[in-house]
Amino acid sequence: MSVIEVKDIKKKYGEVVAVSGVSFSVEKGEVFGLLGPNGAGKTTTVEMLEGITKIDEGEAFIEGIKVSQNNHTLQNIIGVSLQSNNFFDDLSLAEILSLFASFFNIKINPKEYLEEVTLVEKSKTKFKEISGGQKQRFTIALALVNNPKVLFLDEPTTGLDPQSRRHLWDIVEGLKEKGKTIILTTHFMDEAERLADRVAVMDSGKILKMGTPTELIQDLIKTGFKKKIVADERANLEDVFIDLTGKNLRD
Amino acid sequence: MIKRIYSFTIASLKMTFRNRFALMMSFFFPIALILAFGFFNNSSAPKLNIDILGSKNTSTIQNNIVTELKKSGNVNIKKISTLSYGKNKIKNNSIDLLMYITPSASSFSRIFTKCNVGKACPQLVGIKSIPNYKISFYVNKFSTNLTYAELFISGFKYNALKSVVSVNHISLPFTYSQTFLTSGKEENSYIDFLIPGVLALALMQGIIFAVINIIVNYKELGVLRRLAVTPLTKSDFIASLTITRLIFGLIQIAILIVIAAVFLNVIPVGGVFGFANLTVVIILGALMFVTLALIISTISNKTATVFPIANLITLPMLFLSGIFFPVKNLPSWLRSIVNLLPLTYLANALRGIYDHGYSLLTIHNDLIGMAVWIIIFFLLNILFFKWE
Repeated sequence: MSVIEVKDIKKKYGEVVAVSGVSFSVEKGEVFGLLGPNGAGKTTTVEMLEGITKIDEGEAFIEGIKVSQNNHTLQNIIGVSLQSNNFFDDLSLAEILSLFASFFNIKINPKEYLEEVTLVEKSKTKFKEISGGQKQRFTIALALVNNPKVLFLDEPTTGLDPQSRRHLWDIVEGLKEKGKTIILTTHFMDEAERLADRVAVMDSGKILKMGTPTELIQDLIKTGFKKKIVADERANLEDVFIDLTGKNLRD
Repeated sequence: MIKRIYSFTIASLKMTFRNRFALMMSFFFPIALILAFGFFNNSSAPKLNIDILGSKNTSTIQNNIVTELKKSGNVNIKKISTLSYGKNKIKNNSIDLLMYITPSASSFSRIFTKCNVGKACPQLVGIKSIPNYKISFYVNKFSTNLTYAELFISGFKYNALKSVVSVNHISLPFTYSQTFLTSGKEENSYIDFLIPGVLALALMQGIIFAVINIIVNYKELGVLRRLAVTPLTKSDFIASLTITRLIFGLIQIAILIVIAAVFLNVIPVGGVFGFANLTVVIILGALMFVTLALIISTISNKTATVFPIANLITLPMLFLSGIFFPVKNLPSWLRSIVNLLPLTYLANALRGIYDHGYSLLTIHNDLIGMAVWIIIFFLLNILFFKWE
């Protein structure tokens, strides 16, 4: 049985159709990538699944639980990292983690979670004092406090430097190894290629195509597509950048 | 639920005390107000309201006194005809001082020559009978201007003495008596009036601006969205927000009370019961302003819009609700509206306890007024409050 089952969900804001009939399913332990340009409906889709936004039409199930707003059973099994990664400026990272854990009525050792995203030395630092990349990593640590089965990561690497992106990819791969089911939205294709088992390409509120990255590429080549090769395929500019500046995190 | 509210309240209190700037502002503003108005008030002498009357054969001296005092310009003096009428005016707190002139036994004064060069000087040339008067001062002990009334009396005596000496009269034309009368209702000095009002104002400003700042900020930054995917419910959130503001409000008011007591010697009357009653009133006031702030924060999701709206709502109350001057000084049509404002109820209730030691029963009208506002604001919140 699929962990996530989405059946023809729709969302309208006034006259604007944000999502017009999206269906897919995600298997246990899979990383499912939702790809698309800005405004394609990726965030609205995940926010409907998270129970933040009401589903206008259609239905969705996570672990067999019907998705609805403010559903406590659902909240206990999902972990959420939103696009906006703001929390309480005047609390330390450890305090925010403990606070969120207390919402789920559990006691945690914040350092364990910070360890996972290499922020353990920042545990007493106030949220407002950490960098953008650290905030991104912290939102993932925070999404894990309730030991969720399903993780939603909405554009987790937007705005990060190549070092931080690669580091975050390592974190996501680590979570996948631990058996978490992950829905990841991104508009970076290299990210999707590296992390996602399957992807769905969205635009204008619809899924245009779905499959493994290799399948989608093969399908494109079958249509007679030929890429204009401007540089040597064996390396690209980002590889040069990493080669020059190293993989170490800068914040 | 209790556990979630508890942990979020603790976290919110930590945040409140760590935000140094906001913390400073919540004390700076009321303290500056108290000190500025307190000292401003002390620096200018108000006009004294004096009534004067005399028994038979005193009209000349009475007229002389009235003319002299009018020249000085510091008093409103009025001639009246009966003593009981004057005493009643003190009881109604409409005058500060009553002067009652009666003739007393005449004294004799020796008349000397002016000193001319070459003659024995001075030479006694005769004896003159001088009409003497007794002036009874009745002082309104509960007048706001008590200090000035007492200053006036000593000034009057000094000037009378000086004028007598200058014309070489040896004996004094006046004898004096001074009686303190109390009005039915105690009217305290301006600083006593001001401080409970400033406490009410500080509570209102502190709560309204803190609450809308938190909510609009959390909405703009997406924190409320993130909280929405945790088991923390809207009511948990609002409950801890309310408790946090309540605790902070009580601490804030307690510190301001200590400051007023230390620097201005204004101490709430009524002892332990007074403090217990103050606590009840502050809790009601805090609930009233938290619920009001929640409604204001639903009007818009943008800081740039919400703060001007909050000012639009708080500023008229700041000026009209009897914080800096009594509501009774307003025109009657405005007074009837102002008497219904949330801040007026809170200021009146605090003033009743602070200055007069009233019981909660005595100020029940103000408490009911606040309770009605809390219910109205609460119902509006049920209808309109949203996470986003």
